[in-house]
Amino acid sequence: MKKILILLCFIFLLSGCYDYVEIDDLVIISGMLLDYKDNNYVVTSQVIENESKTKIKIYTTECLQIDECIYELSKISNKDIFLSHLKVLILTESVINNGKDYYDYFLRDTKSKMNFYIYYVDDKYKDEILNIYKEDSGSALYIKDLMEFNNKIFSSSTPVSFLDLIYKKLEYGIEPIYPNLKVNKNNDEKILFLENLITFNNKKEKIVLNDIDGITYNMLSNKLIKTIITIPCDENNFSLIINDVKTDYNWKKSILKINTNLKGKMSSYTCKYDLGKSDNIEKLNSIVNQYIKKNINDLITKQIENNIDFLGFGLYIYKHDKNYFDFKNNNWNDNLKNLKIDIKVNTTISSIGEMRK
Amino acid sequence: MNQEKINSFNLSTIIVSLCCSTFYGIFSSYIINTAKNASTISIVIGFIISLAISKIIISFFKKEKDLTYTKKLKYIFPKLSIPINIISILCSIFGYILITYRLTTFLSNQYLIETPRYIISILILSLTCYTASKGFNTAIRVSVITFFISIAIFFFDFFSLVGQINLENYLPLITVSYKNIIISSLIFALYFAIPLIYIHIIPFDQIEDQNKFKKYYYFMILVSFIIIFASVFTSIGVSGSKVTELFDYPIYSTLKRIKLFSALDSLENISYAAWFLFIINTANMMLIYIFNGIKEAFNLEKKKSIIIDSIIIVVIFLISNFIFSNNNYNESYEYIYIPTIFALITLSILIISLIKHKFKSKNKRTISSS
Repeated sequence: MKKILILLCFIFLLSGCYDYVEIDDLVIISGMLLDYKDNNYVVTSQVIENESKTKIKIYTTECLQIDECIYELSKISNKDIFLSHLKVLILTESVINNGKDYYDYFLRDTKSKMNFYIYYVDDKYKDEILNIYKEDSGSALYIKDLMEFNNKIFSSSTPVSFLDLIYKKLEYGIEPIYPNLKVNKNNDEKILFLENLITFNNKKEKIVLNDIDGITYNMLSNKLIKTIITIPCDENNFSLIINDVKTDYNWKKSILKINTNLKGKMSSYTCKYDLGKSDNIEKLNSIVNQYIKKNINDLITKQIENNIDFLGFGLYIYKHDKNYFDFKNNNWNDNLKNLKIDIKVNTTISSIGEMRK
Repeated sequence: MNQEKINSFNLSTIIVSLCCSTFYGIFSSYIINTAKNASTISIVIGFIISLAISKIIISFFKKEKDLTYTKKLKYIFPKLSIPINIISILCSIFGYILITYRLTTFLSNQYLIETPRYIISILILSLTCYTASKGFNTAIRVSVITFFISIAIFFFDFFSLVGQINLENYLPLITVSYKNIIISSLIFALYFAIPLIYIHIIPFDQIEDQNKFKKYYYFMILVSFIIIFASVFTSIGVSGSKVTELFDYPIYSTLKRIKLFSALDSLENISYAAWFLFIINTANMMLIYIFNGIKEAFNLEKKKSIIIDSIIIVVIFLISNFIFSNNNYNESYEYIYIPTIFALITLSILIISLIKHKFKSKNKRTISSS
């Protein structure tokens, strides 16, 4: 009997009754938008509330620290906060540029899973971004699907996980880049749209990457899964579905060598060359090489002109030759213009589709 | 004492728990903060040093095969046995407090936030006291189960994360001074090997297949090394040393990245159960040593020893809940050095005992031959 009583005590103590919270008493945060205004954080949270029916709600709180805002949210909703379900953290320009350590809370809080994704939103869309799709599973989950789809089909944007962002903030010679969200209109209906990538230089200027830049960024950072590019040939053009890209870097004699190998399948063709001849396929390979090389050059020029190393060349050099530059005491971005880069692209068109010519 | 014989393999499984218990929650953040990218080098150097310590421990284990550690000390130091045994027991009490305190802290931080820490502390104390009261046969049975669970968890974790490893994250390999690497290696060796002393609670004679023990002993040390090395290697490889060193529980933070079929997450909580089991096993062994040690050192009767054991449990509870009432990273970071002193004391006692035993046996042989 004594033993049974002791075991019963253990059942109560071990099952964590002390910390027990009913799901109805929880407010589950699935998405969060962070803004910074007059030295205060403005936190807009998309939450899932479970009462008689699951509801998506939006709460906005304003305070000095993010955790304070979260507690404020708990106060408003009269429920405990559940942060582990957070899927999306959207940042505004003021949060990124005011250099506030907004990420500190998410690193420090024990309930933060740190497996959510980071996005950027322009000020003009910040009020409506989490308010779309309130009836369904909520904008936060829609954004997650949006990125997964883009990544599988276009690769013009790239998912940035919270820990990737922290990694880029802490390491030398690499700057963070953010996927850009906006609200578009489709037949009078507002829809969420995933724009390309965006970053900010030391002067807090916004650098926007277009579609081609986004694809090239993904090629250079080995994150490209699948994309389609249209390449001019003569006065016409042809499209290539690229699904196999590998970029290697090499640092030798103070020259950064970039070697990109890609494989693609032709999806449309209006050029003059006869595809039945292997010489012409070689010619097309070299056209693609030149096109990709030009895109890489343009992206690097964008980096240099804006004085920001978002491609992480500095990080690569630091890892392979840490004495090349005093990364600790000097700003690597200022040295970007002195960097010698040698680019090589090697394309293989593996299929011309179902047609023989 | 329970006279049931123990199988070599079963006994050797406790080695994995003893070697790994201090790593996940105590030593991992220290080594990554001190040696940074060179943590893996530190671990390898530390492992080589720890092999020498392990050799000393097994050599002493094989001396006076029918005696436990306390009785061996009594035999070797007939006049000084009481202070030496007291020092050894105090070192073990401190070790017990440290490891259970870290487990309590972790559980209280991560899972049972609202629950008062003393409740968690009581639970751990009760669990380890109960197992310790059942003797080492029970503790060894628990360790056999733990061994297979932890190996399964290790493989699952490793293969879930290996695809995320970026070899560039280990570069540049050395970003800290050689002094940092050597100090962390030395401390690693002590943390890794000194807990092995608790196998001495079982007299060597009680092992069924004694000739096989040495082989299993080194094999399990190697397994423990592989587990620790792979944990640090994967953590740095996945997140980079700069991100990993931010956390008080770096391995736990890395395990948060495990996701199965794009939907199943929070698996780090299951994975970290291996550490809880390691701690519980080590705490069991420590308590068995403390309880038996007091009884044997002072030749106490059962009733008296139960009273003293109870007093010790109360003292342990009070120390871990009142003196270590704060709970922060700096605190635990500083504690890295204090156990090192206790480990060095334990190692010194072991070496002196081994030397003294050698002389004693030499004299014995000389007397018997003359």
